[in-house]
Amino acid sequence: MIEFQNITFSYRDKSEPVFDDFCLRLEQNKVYGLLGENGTGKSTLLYLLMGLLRPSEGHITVDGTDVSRRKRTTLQQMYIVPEEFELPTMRFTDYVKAYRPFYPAFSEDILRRCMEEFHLPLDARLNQLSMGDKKKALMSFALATNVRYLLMDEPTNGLDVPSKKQFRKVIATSMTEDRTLIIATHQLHDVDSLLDHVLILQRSHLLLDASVTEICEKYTFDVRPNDDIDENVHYSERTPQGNATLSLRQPDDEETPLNLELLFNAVTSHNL
Amino acid sequence: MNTISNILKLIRFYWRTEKKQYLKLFLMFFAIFLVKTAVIDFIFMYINADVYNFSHYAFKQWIYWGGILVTLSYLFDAVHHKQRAIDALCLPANNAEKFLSRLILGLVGVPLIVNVALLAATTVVVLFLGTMDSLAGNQPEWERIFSYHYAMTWFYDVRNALHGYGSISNVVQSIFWENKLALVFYTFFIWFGTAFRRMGWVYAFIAFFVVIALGVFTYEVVGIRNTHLLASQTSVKTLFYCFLFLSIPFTLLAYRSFCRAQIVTHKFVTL
Repeated sequence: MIEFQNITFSYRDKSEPVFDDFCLRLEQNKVYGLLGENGTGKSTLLYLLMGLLRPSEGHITVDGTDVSRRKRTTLQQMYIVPEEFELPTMRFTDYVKAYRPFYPAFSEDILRRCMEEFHLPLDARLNQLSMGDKKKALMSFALATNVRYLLMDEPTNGLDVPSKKQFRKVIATSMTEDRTLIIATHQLHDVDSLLDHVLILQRSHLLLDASVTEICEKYTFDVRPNDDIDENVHYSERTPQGNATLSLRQPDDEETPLNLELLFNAVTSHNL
Repeated sequence: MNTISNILKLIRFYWRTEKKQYLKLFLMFFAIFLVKTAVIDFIFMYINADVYNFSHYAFKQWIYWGGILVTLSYLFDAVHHKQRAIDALCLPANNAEKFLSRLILGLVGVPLIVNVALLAATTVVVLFLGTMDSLAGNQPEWERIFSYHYAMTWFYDVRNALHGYGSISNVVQSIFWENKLALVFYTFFIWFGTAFRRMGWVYAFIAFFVVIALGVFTYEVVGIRNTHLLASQTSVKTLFYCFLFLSIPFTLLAYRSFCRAQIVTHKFVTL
């Protein structure tokens, strides 16, 4: 379990703290979507969680261990795929050979499957890959580490449309029971089918912390004509097909799939 | 045992991922020593042997030691760059294991590279220019340069030990630090390189000269040389070991900076 306990953090060159007395608890075995506009602290939250940044107050613990100590046993259970990264100039097989001894649960099978899914050769030269392919290779390695907590910062940035589909498939097939995945993104369409839980950040505060099940039990997402906007509609947006609406679910309403973008807009405009 | 095996694992890891950097470092020193030996030594040796001896001395002080010290100041440079720091700090190993493995690589690997580069460059120059020189009928002075440079390297001590002229402790001392005090400077530069985000070695050199100036001031002006402190051999030895002892706090300060490193740090220092 991951716990942020009364975290206060600010960058030195900014007067406003990014997080002020911030608390959050993340359970295991879930796919979390950490959503928010640019500059709301999504990446900062991931860096704090990895022990790459130190809060001025409060503690962050992973399975009871303070992450700021950067202990081997904690780091063996965590992996971050940053938005921007550098890979050494070598073949991917050599990269794997160098890094895999540090991850005791590393799976060669998962690695091979992910690379196949991404249509990448295992012996690819990392310096000759495009940024998108590098990201796919790194995500394959990240999944193959079999760590309990996998963090991805804007994983679909730089991926083309087919690659985004491959990404969703790879994540869906690689999620094991004891794994927690935290995806920080503002590309909502790319991840909406993957999420178990939604966290929406705005100005360092958590506007929403709810499971997809809870959201879909409470609300329905559908498209309605203009004359069908009643008091149950909490939020609506005009679309070419009509009004995309988020409404309070009535007892006889059927469950609808989550419309993450609509939910995000409703939450961030304080209509929920 | 677990920590030792993890340190060995990390050393293997650093070697696998950074061997190109080590090769570049070797080539850089090789080129510097090649130019120095082929051009400067050649000119000075034929102009005046005294000038050559001075040049040789300056070379040893500034290129050999300076090169090692500046390189060591970059030992933990990865923590100053966001993307490289993510990779370095998230690698599953304890801070102490990462620090010690890098320290071992730095204290053994960097001087080894400099030693090999020096000997290789000298050998190339002596073989090439020396042959040409003797073909032209000149007195072959190149052997003198070779023996000078050879005597500066670790290999000289190893050879002496193998032939029974030196002791094993001389070899070990030579391999880990050419003289004991070098360790103090090594750790001092590693600390500054870890603590400062950019050009830590510049600040280290400045601090070094300030300390030297203060030392000279204390010795000459305050009159420490007239006190009982330097009166006996034992006192001098004690002062020497006190100075050597400084390598411990310098190492601990470097370790502290490394442990406290974050991906977004202060503009100048690691806080």
